[in-house]
Amino acid sequence: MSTTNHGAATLTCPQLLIAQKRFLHQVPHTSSVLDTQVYVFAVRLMGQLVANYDMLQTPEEKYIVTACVQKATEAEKWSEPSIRNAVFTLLRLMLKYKGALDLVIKLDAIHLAFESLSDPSLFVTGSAQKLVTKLIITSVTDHRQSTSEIHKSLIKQLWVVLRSSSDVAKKATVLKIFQDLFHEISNVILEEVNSLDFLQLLNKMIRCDSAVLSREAATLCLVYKRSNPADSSLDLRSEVCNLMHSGHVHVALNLCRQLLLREYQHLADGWPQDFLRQPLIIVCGTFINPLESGQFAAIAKSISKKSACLEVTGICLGGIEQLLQQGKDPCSFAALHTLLQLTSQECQCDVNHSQYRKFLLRQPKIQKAALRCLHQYYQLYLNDETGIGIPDAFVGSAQYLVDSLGCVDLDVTIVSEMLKCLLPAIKLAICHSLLSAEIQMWPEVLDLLGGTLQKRLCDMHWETRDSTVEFVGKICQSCADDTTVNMWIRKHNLHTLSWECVKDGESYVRAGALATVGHLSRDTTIWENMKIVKDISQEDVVHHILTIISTDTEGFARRAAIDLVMRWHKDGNQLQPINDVYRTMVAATKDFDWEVKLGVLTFWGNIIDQVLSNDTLPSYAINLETSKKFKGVVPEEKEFETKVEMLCSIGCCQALLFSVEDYEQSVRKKACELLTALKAKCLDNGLIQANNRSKSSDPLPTCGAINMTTPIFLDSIQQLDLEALLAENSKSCDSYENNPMDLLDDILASQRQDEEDNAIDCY
Amino acid sequence: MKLYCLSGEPSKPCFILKFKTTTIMLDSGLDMGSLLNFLPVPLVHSSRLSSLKKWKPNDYRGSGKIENELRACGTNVFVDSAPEFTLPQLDILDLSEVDVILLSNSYSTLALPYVTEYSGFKGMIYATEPTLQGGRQLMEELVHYVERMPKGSTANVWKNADILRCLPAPIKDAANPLAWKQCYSLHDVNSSLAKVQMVGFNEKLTVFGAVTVTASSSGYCIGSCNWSIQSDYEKICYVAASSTLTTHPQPMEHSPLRNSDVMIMSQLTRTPTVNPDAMIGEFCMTTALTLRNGGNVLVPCYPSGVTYDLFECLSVHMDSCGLSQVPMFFISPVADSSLAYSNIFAEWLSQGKKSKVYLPEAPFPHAELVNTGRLKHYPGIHGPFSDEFRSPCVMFTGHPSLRFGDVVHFIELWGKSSGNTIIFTETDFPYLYALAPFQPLLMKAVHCPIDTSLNFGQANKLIRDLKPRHLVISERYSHPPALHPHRNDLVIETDPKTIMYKPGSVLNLPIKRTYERVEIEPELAASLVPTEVKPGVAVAMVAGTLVTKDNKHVLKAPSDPKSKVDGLESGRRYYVWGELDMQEFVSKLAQHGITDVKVEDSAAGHIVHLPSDDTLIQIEEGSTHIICEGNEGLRVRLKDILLQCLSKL
Repeated sequence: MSTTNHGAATLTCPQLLIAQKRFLHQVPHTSSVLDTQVYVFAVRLMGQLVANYDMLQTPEEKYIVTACVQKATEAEKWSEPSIRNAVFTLLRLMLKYKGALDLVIKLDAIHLAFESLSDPSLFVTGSAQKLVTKLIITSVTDHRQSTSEIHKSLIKQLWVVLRSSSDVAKKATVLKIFQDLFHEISNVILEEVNSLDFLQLLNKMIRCDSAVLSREAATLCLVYKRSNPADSSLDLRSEVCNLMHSGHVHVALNLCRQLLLREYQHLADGWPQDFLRQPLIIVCGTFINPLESGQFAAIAKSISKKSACLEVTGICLGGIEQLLQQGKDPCSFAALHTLLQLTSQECQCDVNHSQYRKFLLRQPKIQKAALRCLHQYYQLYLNDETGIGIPDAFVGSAQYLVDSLGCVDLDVTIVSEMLKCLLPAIKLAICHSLLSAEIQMWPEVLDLLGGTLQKRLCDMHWETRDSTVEFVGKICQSCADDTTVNMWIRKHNLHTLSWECVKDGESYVRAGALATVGHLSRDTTIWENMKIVKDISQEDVVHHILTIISTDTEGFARRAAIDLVMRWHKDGNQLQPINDVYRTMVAATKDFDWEVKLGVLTFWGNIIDQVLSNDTLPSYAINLETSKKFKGVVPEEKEFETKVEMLCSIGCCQALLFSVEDYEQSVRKKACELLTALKAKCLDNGLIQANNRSKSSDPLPTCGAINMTTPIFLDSIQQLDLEALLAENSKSCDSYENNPMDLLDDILASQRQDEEDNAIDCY
Repeated sequence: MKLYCLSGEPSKPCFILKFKTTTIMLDSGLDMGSLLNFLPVPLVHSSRLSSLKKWKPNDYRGSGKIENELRACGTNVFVDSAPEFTLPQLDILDLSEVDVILLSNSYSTLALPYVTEYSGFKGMIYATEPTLQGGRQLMEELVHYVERMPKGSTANVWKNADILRCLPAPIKDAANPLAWKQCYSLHDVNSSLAKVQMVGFNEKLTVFGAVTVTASSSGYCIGSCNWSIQSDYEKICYVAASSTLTTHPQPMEHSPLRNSDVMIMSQLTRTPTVNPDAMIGEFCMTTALTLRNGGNVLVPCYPSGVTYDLFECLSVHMDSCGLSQVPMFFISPVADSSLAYSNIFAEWLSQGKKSKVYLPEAPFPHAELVNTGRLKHYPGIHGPFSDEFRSPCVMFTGHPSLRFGDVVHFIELWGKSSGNTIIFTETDFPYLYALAPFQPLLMKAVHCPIDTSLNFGQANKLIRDLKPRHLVISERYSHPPALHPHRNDLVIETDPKTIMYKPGSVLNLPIKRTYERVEIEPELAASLVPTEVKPGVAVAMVAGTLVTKDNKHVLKAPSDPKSKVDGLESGRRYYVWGELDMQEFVSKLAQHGITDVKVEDSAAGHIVHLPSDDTLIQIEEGSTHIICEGNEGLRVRLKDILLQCLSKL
């Protein structure tokens, strides 16, 4: 029995609670033979329990907790990080109950938590940090406890760590604790710690060599300022300026970036974005004489080494992306364009003179960050319907993207980012085709892009082929209505090449290509042209898709093919020969991939809806008296039976019955839902009688095993207790939900395996 | 020591090194650039080529009949004759004097029959086995292509300087066409290659006892090597086509090339601005794109080297693009042996390929491709090929010059469709000029030059690592390529110790031979009595007979005792050495009754004054003067006393 499902065993029904307590009571007494993982399970189970139930109510329960924690803190167990994490979490959750603080002190957990503030495991550090924070806050806010003054001592201890500890990790954790505390009890902290001393210490830490400590101290500065906005001794702008002048440009910029976060925005009125833009201006060589401004000179000096230059540029780009996401334009488009050129080897323009080019050339992190910013810019301009804000460098930037995309040895992730950028760029060009004089260059750019995309669809890296085919699909989806784009797709054979990608050797590419084919097929001009160029008929296309559903080795591709079939079915596309489609879908009911099977069932669901609905008429016309003449003269009951017969004849009913017995719960559930709905309609139309279920020992018909006829199907659904099956398959928990004792006994019993003669055959 | 530079093309090297008493030829490359001036030789009659307009200069007044020699195609003029090759300048010196030829790789062997046949050459030729077999295949293919469709006549009139200057470029810029030669015969190839002695990497071979030559892997192609030529006190390294990239051959060895007196470097990449990896990617992408569009791909190639890598990379890429059903054809008269040999040369391959042999698997995947029928190879387009041929396909065939071979047929066949693509990967020929006689051509032409030999950056790094005392390079490597005049990074960093050569140069290599190793016969050595002159250094007088044979020097004991040198046995001659101890000298003088001694220190040594004898002794380093006013007896006494104070040998 696996112990990984412990989260599920946290019900609070009385029976379960008793069982859990019994189990937990046994744990400390059998701990010597228990596996560490079982012990972790026990402590975490207790944690889950105390989240909803006060375990300190009776002496017996209190004993269970105490014994469990005491055993857990024994050296052998305590060396396991999972135990430490579980214990700290348990104690933190318990702190909401009366007397918990006393118990924590009694168990010497404060000492343990302080020790773990610089634990090698980040999980343990985090839980210890949260425990200490909770201890202080509980001590301040909950006066029921006899030890409510404990927070003073704890804050002092934390302060001592900050001032005198040489452990950087511990100090960083303490800074995080202070960040949390300032949110809740700012005044209490300032009663214990002098604000001037505190700020002085933070100032020192911000300038230290440790990046983590510096970052946490800077964040704490912001938290402090937010909690104490009136404190004039901390002027954030001056602080940032000072940091820049003292050579801590990356810290200053990180601070600016944080100030752009929603929670700190009110602390600054636009100046952080000016600061964030400055390094970009310097790197791009736009700033002529750095000596004219002390700040610029300080930045220029601090980025004279490669690592510093890359770090600062990265922070700067991150900040600009943040601003753009918030819909603000930091007015850096031209600089961003120049930066992208600096990173590109293919660029032959006048950016070569920048002294930073040697640092930035082909730096993937910078390239990606800059491309993300460019993408945000395009989105920003796309949202602006007037198009007034589109900069002159727009076409240049798009041209750069297209040129660079042609470079053969480009990193696959950069290709992907470039394609992401190009999509809004093309949309922009279409939307504002009359707004820019430079737009005349577009045919040239588009031609080059067409040629490049052709090659990228045959790229050496499947990731690139996948992103490219996806890009073609998106272009077709969003811009195929535009005559230029439509012609462009056809001119460069992007539609035929995308179709060829359906035969790609990589399943992700095949899946992506199938989705793209779906988009291409929606445009008649493109789709018909594709079939003419490739000299294939719609039947050939459908046959190929069905072959993928039947024979493809990868689930991704089969799923995508089923999605395509569904899409075509939904769109009323020609799914010919339809009998082959039905036959393939019946066979796909036996697929190994549960998601494929769900897709198949969705297809059958759509078929049922289509067949059983009055789809020949619009919904508003169904109940009209005159509508009967459109529906023919077949009586209602007879017509329904014909429809069910049709569903049986195409294999739909057979597939649903087969899926009811599938080994995947989700498939069974979906099949039950469909059959329940169908059964209800059969009942409504009098094809079957309610409560006429006889106990039949015949197994359900298997898919493809027999030729399903309507009477057999109706008899089968009559026999099936679909409600019960649906209820059974809708259960979200495993079997031990109803009887947790089995699970708990299993756990304990598994520890006694060694005593028994359980020879394991490795083979 | 002299170096003769016979080749005008650094990528087709041919040097002759005169070192000690030996004459060594380094490589024998054949410049095939001249082929581009000739009309292609089609495999089947081409009405288009045969109907090309005859051409003659407007103002031609000469007597020679030029009408049938030149034909115009577009703005270019081509020679309608059997193709000819530019040979190294073999007339600079007598080839019968060449003692040994060292071959670095199969591509540098192609001029070998011109050197060894009918020239009086009687030396040795050293090459690794793959170089020999690869060279043989290249030569056989060349001969086969040229002899298969022989041209009836040979054109020579156009080579006349008066006519040549009237011709349009680039043919008018042809260097010395009178020296061009037609292709050798298969007999010459066999006869020439029969003289080759196969060597292994790091096998030491003595050339007449004067120098030792050793081949070490250069990583460029199977069996390619660099050579180190070593005497006892001098070392010369010849770095030919080398590669630091990881492809199929054994990686390049650096250590045998370190600390040489002279390093001769040739065959650097001809496409320094492109990265071979990127070009392979471009090649695969273009191929897949053409095939997906229903077109055929034509790859003019040699039957070895990069072609094996292309098979490997392309087959993987075609699989990943779902094009595994598209066949690859390899047509060459030596295709069969080329594919077969490559898979039995496991010991010459990279570690990855070598280890496959132990699985056991064929080192190259083309064996598997052949077995599964994806790669089909044929000696020519006639016969079984026509049964198997289907389109679309990828066709690998020669010759990369596009002047002969099956490639000519496929250009004629596929050239009219824009759906087909010809991809140039070999770097020996400018692809636009190679295509010139086929214009107008609708077929797409893509240039993906794949040259894995050292680029300038790698070469400079290698030079810094190997630290040669002097470097010899082509003067072409000292300035940026003509197409990239501002790319100062595309040069070899030179210093005063760099020696540059031009075609036909004869360089005096600055190696001063100071020492020669002499062996002492054991008997004679046993008779020596060394005297320690300073800690760790002992010297002894020796006399014997110096016997020199096969460039080895041996000092033997004199055979006739009577003829022993006077002074060694009967009247032994001593050599004094060491510094005079003045205290000892003065005390010795006192012992001999000379007590009135005054010693003064001078700038050069000491002055000993004997006032009572009116004598002055000047003792300086390396000389002693006794000034005693003609008292010969005293002088002799003083000399004897002085000698007693010195160490003797």
